[in-house]
Amino acid sequence: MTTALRALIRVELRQLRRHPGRSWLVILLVAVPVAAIVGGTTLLSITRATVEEQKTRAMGRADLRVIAEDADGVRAARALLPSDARVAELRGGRAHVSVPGRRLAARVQVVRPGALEAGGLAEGLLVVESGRAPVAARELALAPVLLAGLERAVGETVMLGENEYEISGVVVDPEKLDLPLVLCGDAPDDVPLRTHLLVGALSDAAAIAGRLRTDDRRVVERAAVGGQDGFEELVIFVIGGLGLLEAAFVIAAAFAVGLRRRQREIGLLQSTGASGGGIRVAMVTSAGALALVGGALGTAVGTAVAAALHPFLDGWNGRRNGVFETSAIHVASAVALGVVVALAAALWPARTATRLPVRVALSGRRPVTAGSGRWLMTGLVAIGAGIVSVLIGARGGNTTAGTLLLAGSVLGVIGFGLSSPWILDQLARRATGLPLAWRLAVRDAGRFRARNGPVVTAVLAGMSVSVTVAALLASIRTLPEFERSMMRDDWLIVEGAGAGEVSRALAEELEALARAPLAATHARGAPIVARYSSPDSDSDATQQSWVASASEGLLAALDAEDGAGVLAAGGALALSVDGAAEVVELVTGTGRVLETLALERFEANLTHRGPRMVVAPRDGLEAGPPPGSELVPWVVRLEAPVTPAVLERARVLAAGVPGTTVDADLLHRSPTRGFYRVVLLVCFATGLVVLVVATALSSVESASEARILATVGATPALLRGHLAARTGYLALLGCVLAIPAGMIPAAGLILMAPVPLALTVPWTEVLITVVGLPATAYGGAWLLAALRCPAPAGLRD
Amino acid sequence: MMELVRSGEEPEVPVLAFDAISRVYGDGAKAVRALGPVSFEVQHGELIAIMGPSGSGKTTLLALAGALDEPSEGQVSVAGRDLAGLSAKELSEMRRRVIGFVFQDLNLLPGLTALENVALPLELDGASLQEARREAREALERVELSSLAGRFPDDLSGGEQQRVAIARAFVGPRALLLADEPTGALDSVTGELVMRLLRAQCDAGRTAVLVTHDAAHAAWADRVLFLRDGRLIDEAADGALSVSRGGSGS
Repeated sequence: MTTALRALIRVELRQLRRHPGRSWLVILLVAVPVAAIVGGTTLLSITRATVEEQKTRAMGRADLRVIAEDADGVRAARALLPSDARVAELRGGRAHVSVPGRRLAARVQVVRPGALEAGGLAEGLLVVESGRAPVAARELALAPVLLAGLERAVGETVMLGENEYEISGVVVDPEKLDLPLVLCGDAPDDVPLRTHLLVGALSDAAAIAGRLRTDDRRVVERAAVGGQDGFEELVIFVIGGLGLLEAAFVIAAAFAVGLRRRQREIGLLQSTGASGGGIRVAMVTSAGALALVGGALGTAVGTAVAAALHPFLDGWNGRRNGVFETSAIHVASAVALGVVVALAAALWPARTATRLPVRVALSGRRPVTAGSGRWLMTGLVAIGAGIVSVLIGARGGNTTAGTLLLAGSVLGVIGFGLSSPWILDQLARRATGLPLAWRLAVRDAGRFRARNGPVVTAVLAGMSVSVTVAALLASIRTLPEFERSMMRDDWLIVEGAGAGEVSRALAEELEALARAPLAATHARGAPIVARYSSPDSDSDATQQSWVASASEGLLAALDAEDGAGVLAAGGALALSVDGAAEVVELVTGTGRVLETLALERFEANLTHRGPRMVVAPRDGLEAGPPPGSELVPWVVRLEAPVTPAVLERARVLAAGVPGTTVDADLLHRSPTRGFYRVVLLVCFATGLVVLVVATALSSVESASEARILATVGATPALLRGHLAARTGYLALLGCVLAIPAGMIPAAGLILMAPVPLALTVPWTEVLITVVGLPATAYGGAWLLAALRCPAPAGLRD
Repeated sequence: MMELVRSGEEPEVPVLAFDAISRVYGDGAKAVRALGPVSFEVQHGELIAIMGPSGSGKTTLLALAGALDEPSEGQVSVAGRDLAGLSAKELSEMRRRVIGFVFQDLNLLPGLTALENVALPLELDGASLQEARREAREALERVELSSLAGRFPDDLSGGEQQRVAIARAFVGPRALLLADEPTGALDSVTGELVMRLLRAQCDAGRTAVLVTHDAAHAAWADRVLFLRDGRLIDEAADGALSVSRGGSGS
């Protein structure tokens, strides 16, 4: 490093100390996104199952898992295995555990104790957390959720089926801590079980798996289980990167204002022989130093937040999460990203400041602002490139589609941002008829367009995300599927270990019209689907839907009691299924047609949670859940739509049985609305932060003009109005430009969607965007200005 | 608000009166007396020049006269009203209707055209845009700048900017102009032009207080007050300075 450069860097570093407010602003603008990236990736790596954990969750220590179903299947599978292979049987089924007055549904797992121990083939599948694994015939271990629900502890007894068992320990599925799990050492007499074989010590697992498949056995290979594509990390880096992009515009504006105030000082440095390049390097170096501090601070905050949250993670996501550790690569990448963004943000203002002729710099006069036409042209080119990138990405359908879409979105935002100085200039020329406060605001924005352009860009970058989300959701909401409600509004659906018990209590207390389990029918453990011709004219197209076995309670719950006659005649009852289909086929999972029934349509409210088709109980078909399926939800139909008070009462009842929850249509109305609100809130918050910073910066620069206004008799209200109008105006322009900028990625995403979607302009959300943030910014600036109104003072002597 | 341009045989109320005014900055050992005690009056139609070396308190005096600062002791009256008794709103009103300012630089809002700058006090005072602009155009005609009404300050020369500032200072009913080195950044010819304008405005019944270093410009005044270390040390009546208007001062 030359002596001159060292001297210049010393000057710059002293500047950082002289202006701690600006220095901290840059540090925080880098620190916040870096903290988000570091914290996000750390939490993700802790909470996400590693590949090895995914393998253990599915396979234990085994190389193969063979679904053998019953004793015959076990014998046949074993015959195909090498004689030296290690084999452990893993049997599962469903049953109820009970104590006097309480009966809970549970998943039963039967594993020999040795298999769960270290080195056993089932090691890691289930974990005995306290007590011990069951070894005797009448012992079992229970999940904490069942122990709490039954109010029992280790050493006490419960009923499993018809037999009494002693609780030997507490067992959990490490990937699903709230699973109502029962672990037995020996198979209970009265619980139907399906058997899986865990097979280990295989020299050529793939060849053996092939042999088993040839024999029509279902096999899972350890090598095929688990995997991570890094997509989540990419998403976190993209979101953090967008935050840094937004920060970059504010950093650039902060540097521009700071360097404008130091114009004479820079001229002085140049007049004493400092080169423009040297000053630039020193300025960028100081920005880098601030960014490094910001990166370190962000890393510390992100890590600290992740560490503080770590003890609570198991309770939140219901799994045994990993130990706390941070990824050096992620930290280094985040800090590097922050430094690069800060350097890039500082470079342009530094270049502009050091290219000013020394005479002009020393005069302290504001340099003539360059024309904005070239910015418009550059912006239009960027917008065009962004649209092309999005279109190519949307039509490509390959792995680069996401990258192209993201690049196109960023180009669109930058393009509109680059165009903003020209727009500010043009609007300033047409401000003559505006009220004074707004006229000054619009004219000021036009005069300082080079500095306000980045502010507008930062606002539009944030708000365009909310527009994209709103457009996407509006387009998705036009799908017919979205028109269907999740459930009837007079339904309460009870799920979990105590669903049957709680639904019964609810039905009694609320004097319900009906109560029934929402269970698909099945045949010999395999779920049955109903297949029928499509409603459209193409007779070759067929549709499938799940089918329920009718009961009096279910028909009443569906408000389809009048269809009982159809079922009694042996037909199938279709709920609101349009089209020309006259018959329906009941088909197994393998495609085997069990039966063909006459189809009778019945007008009823079709819901996502309810069946589309109901058949009468018949030989070969079993009502209730097939083995291995999730717990059966129960539906309770009330006389009137569920009110918040009723829902609250139901929740209180359900809370008495751990692991049981209540659902209602109330909770699903406009399910996308909540997501949009969160996005909008985040965009609002970032937009407001940008505007507050921009307002503070422009206030500093415009203090002399505020004093002139005061000396000609402007009232404090007008001075406040002026400041508020300036903030509101920049917010308004940013939000207006955010609409086309946000629609570009929305259009790309809609083109990429797996279902045909029509791009829909979300007018309500557009209105919220265009009015909401500017109005909030205006009001906030007005209030802030009331606290610190410029005083007419500061003359020279 | 009263009409301050002299008319008829009304009782003589000084446009500006300083009564034992002092201004001290800081407290205790760090206290610095910037001005005072100072007492003087300025009558209708007078052009008063205030001279003195740097740091003598000239600008402090002007700031107190314009209600931009508050005295530590004493009473400042403008048009017979004690400024200390006025609220912030009334002070704003005073600056809109009575007092006009001209500084050495930073006189005009760069975001407004010359016409809009001149119309600004009227517009702030609630006049309609048309009326404010009509009066502003007349004010610009008086300073011979009506042809540049649509230009922004950045497109005007320094002298033109000062003339626009003077037009703004006297637009509407305002009668007291406080000028802080208005010719400081101008060449001698333009400076003369600005002083001639000020003199003409005072001859027409307005009142002006001018802070200057230049004896040649002070020679345009009816009276010259000399300040040193915050105190009035001398006063010269019209013609007492040994310079002629337009000549070099000493």
